Amino acid sequence: MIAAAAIALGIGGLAACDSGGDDSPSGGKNSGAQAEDQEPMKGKPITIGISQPFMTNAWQQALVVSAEDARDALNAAGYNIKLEILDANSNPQTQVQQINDLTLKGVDVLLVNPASVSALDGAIEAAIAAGVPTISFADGPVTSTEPIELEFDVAGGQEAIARQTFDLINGKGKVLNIRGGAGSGADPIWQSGVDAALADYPDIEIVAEVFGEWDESTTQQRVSGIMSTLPEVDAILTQGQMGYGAAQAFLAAGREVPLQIFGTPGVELKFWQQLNKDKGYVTKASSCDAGIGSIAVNVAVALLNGQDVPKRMNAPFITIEQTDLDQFIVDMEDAGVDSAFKNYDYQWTLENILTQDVTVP
Amino acid sequence: MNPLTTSHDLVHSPIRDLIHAPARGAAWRRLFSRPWTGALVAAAMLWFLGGLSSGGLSLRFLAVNATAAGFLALAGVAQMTVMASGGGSFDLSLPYIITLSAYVMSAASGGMLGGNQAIAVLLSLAVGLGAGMVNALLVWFLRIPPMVATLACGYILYSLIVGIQRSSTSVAGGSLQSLLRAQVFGFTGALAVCIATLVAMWVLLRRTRYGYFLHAMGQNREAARLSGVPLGTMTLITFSVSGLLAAWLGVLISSFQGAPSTNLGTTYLMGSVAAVVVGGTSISGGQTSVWGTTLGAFVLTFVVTDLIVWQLQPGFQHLIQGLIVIATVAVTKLAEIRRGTTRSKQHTAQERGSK
Repeated sequence: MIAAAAIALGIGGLAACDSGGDDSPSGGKNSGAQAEDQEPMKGKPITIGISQPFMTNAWQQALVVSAEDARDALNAAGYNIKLEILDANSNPQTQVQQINDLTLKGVDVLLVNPASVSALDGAIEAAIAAGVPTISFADGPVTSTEPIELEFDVAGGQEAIARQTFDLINGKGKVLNIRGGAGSGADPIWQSGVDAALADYPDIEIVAEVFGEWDESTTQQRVSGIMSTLPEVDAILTQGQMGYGAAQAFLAAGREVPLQIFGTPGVELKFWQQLNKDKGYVTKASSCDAGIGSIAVNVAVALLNGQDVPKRMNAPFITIEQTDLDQFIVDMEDAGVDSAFKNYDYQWTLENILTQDVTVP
Repeated sequence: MNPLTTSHDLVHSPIRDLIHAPARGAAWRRLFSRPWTGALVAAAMLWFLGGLSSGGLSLRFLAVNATAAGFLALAGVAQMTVMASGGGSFDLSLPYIITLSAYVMSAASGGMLGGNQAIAVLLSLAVGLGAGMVNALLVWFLRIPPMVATLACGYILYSLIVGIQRSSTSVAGGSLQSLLRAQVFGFTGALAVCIATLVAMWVLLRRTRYGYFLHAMGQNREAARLSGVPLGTMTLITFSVSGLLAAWLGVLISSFQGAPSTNLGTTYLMGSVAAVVVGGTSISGGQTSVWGTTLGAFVLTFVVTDLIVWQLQPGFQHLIQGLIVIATVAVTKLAEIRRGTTRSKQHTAQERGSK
């Protein structure tokens, strides 16, 4: 068996529809012997605790599936990994208890996807003090400086999405900006990416800003509410998980659906597929990749293998081009979740994540 | 004219009606001493202020907000029915029933049942009815306080939502969606369905024996029991009505919007209670006001839209929202206190649950 071989098999065929280049999951490049030295944990029982903030969200479910896929792939390569996954049901207090519980059980690594940026600090620091290496990932960073952070560069990612959206309408026109949670900590960070992009596009006019709370229903109601005040809209910009609701508000009002870069929820992808079929609507989708679940497991294993793990790492955004759309929908349905994602293998994680040198903003 | 039905048109309170003669005075004075006066004034002002940017009291502005307000009013009336039964009752499972029913609707109409929407609707309603009955059984037979029982039931529904959501977000479209999205002068079919449902609820609460019993039960449970009100049956019907209404709302929202989302019901938890309170109905039970709650729903919906139209800073939005809600309720309460001093000190004290 080739150790650390290409294990992006969780969703069959995803690697195939990838455009290639540095960002794509790559095959194993080192020889088996070399890998044995670097992977002393192979064959030994490993328990990785994963504390999830909530599970009523396809993206979070995809993250867990991705983590399980990474576990299966590593186990197929000779590891003996068990995942202990707990769901805090959006309650930071519950999550504190669960972190304490996992610490007491003595998991080998603790992966915390935080439901709160500050409420978990004590529990996380206690886990680290008890000798459990702890990685905060996905929904962080937390305020404590002690855990390792594996997060998304949302400002950078959103800036790229904004630039691509503006390019879709040739850098000129009226844009409806759908932001996340009013007064939340995350929204201004996303918005800073939009502001950075806007500086380079003087002919783009933001005609209205709506806070959609990262929810399709809320977005639809709020966009519908201001529909009578909206002029012709050329494009919609969202922070993800709101594009379908925004589009439906226009449809329900009998208006054309403006161009937008969709997020990765299944409902958005299927809607886009339909629009493309009916009206030749061509766009792309981009968002934080729920495949961060596989990266987090890989990083945890690398940590146990004694690899140097940086204190702060960034996970990639996923981008789905028009030509890849159908395949992503098929793969998503095969995986049994309602959000598209991409798995990353162990070797890819070593080469692209552990080598990062991210300065904390 | 029967004093039992003519006085206090909107906040129904049979026991009070027996004690007090119908309010006298000019029509306008009566209008301004209603419990929902604050909500009416606030809704009109917010409509005006929000519509300004698109031309004053624009009918279009009202139309595009009326559907969302209608949805919130249904949730509010469901919550109000449970609150009216007294004893600090709240139905905390409402948001979960709404979401679950929306998913059942979407899953069932998206192929699982061969696209038969009538069956999908019935199945969704059955889910709501079932959840409501479970709530009632927990409350009545196990004597679990309603807030705890419905919260527990909500957790169970939450697991079902996670399960059903994992694989099945199909788009609920079809003829029901076309009907709900049909527009006359900008007013949607969904709004018409909401109004019809609200009228049905008004009839149930104001014109049936169930309605009279519910108010009696909420005002004084022991007196109601001694007068022969079957409290167990009343509890069962009350939670079932609430569950059914929530499920019906889930059906309407998922069909109108096109697909459910997991947070679909969340805003209706606090929103439903707020609509009732802003609409001027006491949370201590024994009162209902379908139209007051509807006005409350309009206030809450307009607030959100107006703040978007005005383009305020995000931090500011919540502040203004809070202030408007407080102002609306304060107007109502001040009017209530004034009425109390001229009419019945005893009942004001009772309503406020103090002294």
